[in-house]
Amino acid sequence: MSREFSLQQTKFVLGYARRLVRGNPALWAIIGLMLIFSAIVPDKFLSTSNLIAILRNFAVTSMLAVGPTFVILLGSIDLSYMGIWMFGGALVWLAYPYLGLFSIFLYPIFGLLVGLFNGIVYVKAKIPSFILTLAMTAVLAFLTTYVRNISGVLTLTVPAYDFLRVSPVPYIPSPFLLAIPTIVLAIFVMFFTKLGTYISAIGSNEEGAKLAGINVARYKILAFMTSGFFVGLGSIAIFVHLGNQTRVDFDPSELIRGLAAIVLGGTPLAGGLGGPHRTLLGAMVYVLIFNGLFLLPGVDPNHLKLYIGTLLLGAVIIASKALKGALIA
Amino acid sequence: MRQTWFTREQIRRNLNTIIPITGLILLIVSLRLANPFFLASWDSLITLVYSTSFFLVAACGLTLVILMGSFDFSVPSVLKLTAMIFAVLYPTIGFLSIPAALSVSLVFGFINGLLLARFNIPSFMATLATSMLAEGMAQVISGGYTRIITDVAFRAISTTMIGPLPSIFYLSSLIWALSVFFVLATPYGRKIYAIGSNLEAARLAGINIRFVRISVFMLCALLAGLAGIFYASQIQGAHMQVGVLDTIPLFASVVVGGTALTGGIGGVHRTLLGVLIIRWLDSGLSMIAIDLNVRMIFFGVIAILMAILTIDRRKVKIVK
Repeated sequence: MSREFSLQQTKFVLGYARRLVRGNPALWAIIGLMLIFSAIVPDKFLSTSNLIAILRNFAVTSMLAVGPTFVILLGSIDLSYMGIWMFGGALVWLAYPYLGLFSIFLYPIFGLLVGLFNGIVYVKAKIPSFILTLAMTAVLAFLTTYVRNISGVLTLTVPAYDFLRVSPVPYIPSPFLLAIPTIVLAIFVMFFTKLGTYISAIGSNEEGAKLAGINVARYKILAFMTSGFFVGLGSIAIFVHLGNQTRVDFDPSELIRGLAAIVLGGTPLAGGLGGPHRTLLGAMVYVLIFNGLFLLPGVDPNHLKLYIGTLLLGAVIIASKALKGALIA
Repeated sequence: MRQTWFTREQIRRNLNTIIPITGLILLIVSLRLANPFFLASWDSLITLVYSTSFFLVAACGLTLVILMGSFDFSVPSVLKLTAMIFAVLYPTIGFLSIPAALSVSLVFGFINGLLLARFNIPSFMATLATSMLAEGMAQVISGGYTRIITDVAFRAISTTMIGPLPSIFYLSSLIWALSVFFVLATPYGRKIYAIGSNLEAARLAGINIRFVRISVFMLCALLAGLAGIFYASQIQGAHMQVGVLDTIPLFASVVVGGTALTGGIGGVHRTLLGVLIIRWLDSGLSMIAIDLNVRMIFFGVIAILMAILTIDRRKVKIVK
């Protein structure tokens, strides 16, 4: 009897382990990368300053990617995160003289509004979401540069938030601490609310979700709003990371960062699978690869874009396995 | 009974054609009113020809892909890469650098097509990844430096005056005319429309969709490469900022011409109007000292509005 029980237990543990390996290859990538880099360049990789840098970069990358994951779950795509991050910062800078320290709350509000706009246009006008949100990002980003140009300053810095840059916990950088609420909230929305379940349902089978009585149009708009809200909330961490300012020059290659984290984490572009928890792992993979890569001797930072492109290409090819069967445009 | 052309139904049906044409006329008139130097002399026309021609070639390629219902982000990056390869290799191997650059662009098109048709990756995602590769290669090849070629022969490709206009005008018009012929009058062109209208139906009708999709992406990349070579020749070299700001205007010029994002509607012939509108608007607005960023915002808004107008909503059930 006891032998049988232990056999069952072993089977259960093995099954769980198998599911963990299959379900989260990113987790193993993280462990592998950490082992590899600490074996090759232990003095550089495991130094305190480098580990802090990893945490900072993780905060930035995951904050760009957690929000859009909800839209990718739908099977659509939301590239407006860069616009929300950039122009939200400009809004904070513009509103600071009037609202004082409260102006930082414009970030999530602005993100929510952009998400609402994206969602309504996407659902009502039925134009492909990637092009809508790309144009949105471009419009907002160029608007940010324009605000900078006409205001006659070099950077849109709000020095009054300097207290946010000081971390109350030793060794943990404040952008990481600021990212934690967004992470917790995103995982809560994903697993403990109707919204997360319905978004996944729509992503895996839109027709089926409709027949099951889900108000598809409403939940699509809500998904875009969730995305915008989390990007706005997360942008506060990036804002602090950059020294209480926002980015003012638009570089489309930054768009890759969020997408790469999502795809590396294992949320397929077809939607229905994955979620923000996987995106967090994907962001960590992305950060570790680029942190470790440039610590290696003989790696030229000039080749950065080449590596990012290769990585993303590999990631989308692996992720495309989930898309088999359907014909994609 | 005589057919009347200006009923409400007719106007609504031909909105895709009416908007660009009236837009262009209004644009020229209003830019002329705002700035008396716009199109005031032959020289200013030649300047506009220079700013329009290479763009038209790249936009023709993008139109082919959009007609198929896909999208290609990598056009500006491939344009930059070929311009860079052409300029970097020219001092050593002369005009052999043109086939070298074009074959690199063809490889990029092939990869894009393969990723879509074989690996079933959404084209915008696949081309986003390959555009990073192209950017990275351009960076590696040039080391980030601007290349200036002072050779007269290098410059002659685009700027030889044949009659009153530079050679780039004739070259790009020829390419445009060829691709219009190709798309409207050959079986291959009709297959592009068929795929854009309904991929599944095209496959069931016996069209080799994998071949057509890969070859259209290769054509698009080839045209982007040609645009890069013309542009490099026109500006006497290449630099890392080539094409950086072209993504939104390129896309805008295709949809402003009246090609729908969902595919199957529009055509390369329409893109000429779109390119004229977007590039002349760009030149005209910069002549009355409108900030570059404002122009870009403007193009983004125009692109989205036109995309909403041109899409055929009856056809698509689920938009991703």
